[in-house]
Amino acid sequence: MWRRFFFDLMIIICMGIFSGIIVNELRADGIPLLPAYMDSSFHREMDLNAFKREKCKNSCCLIFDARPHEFYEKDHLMGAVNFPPVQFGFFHGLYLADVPPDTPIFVYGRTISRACDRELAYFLALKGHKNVTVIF
Amino acid sequence: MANVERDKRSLSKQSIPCQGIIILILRLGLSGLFIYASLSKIRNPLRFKNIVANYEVLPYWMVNITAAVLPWLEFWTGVLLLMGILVRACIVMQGSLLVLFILVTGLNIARGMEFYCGCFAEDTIASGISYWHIMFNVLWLLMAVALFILERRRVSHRFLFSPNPAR
Repeated sequence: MWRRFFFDLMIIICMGIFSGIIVNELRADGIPLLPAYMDSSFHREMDLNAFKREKCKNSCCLIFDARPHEFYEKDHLMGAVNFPPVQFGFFHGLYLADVPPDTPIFVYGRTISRACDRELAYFLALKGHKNVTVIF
Repeated sequence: MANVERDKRSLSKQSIPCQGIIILILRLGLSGLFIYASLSKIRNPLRFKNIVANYEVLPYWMVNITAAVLPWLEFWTGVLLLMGILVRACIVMQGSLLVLFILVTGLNIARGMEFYCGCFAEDTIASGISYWHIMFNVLWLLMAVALFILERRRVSHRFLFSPNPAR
């Protein structure tokens, strides 16, 4: 009985996975199943302590908090501005319209997920910013 | 003696009053909820991906896959439950999804975050993260548990056309 039950569960899970993947691949507005920002060659990574030392040396850097606004409101690094990648176009125009591409940019988004910081670093690299560092 | 045993067994198997109607209502309710919830997510995968990322609970490499697959899991469990196919497995899957939603919502409330939950279309009353939202999911979870207890069949498509389930 239990074997049959787990077999039924597997059928449902497989139906969900296959239809999700197939429909996503077929539709024009589908999303990439593995995000492009998995490749970390677009940015450097640095831990928080190393960042604090670097920040002392480099005062002209920009610090972006890539987490959703609610997380930023709760607490954030001193001097960081909120820049969620969901509204990249708007915030890029607001903060980076006249910034030279070699300006050091630090992206912070330390959560369990770390989706936002890597995505923002990837988008910034696509826009031509060469000195992007993700703080973890 | 054998007759007494048989009577005892039939008494214990006797259904509660209106069991068929209760099962039908629970099945329609749960399947309707899951199909309705899945449609807005299927319609706009990019928006749903951003909502999943907003929760900040999944590792970044799982966000997109989850956003692509989860709505279809909801959809198929709803459709199969409505059709009466693999009923108990569908109920368990829906119950598991509801437990997952309760945990994730509870985690974000504990972290002090309140944002659009993404369960339904944006303008519905059930949207938003709050204790009320958890209560809503717990209510549906209780309904799934009740249906799992009452519905003992694997396939019950005949039930759609006849309110008295053939045992």
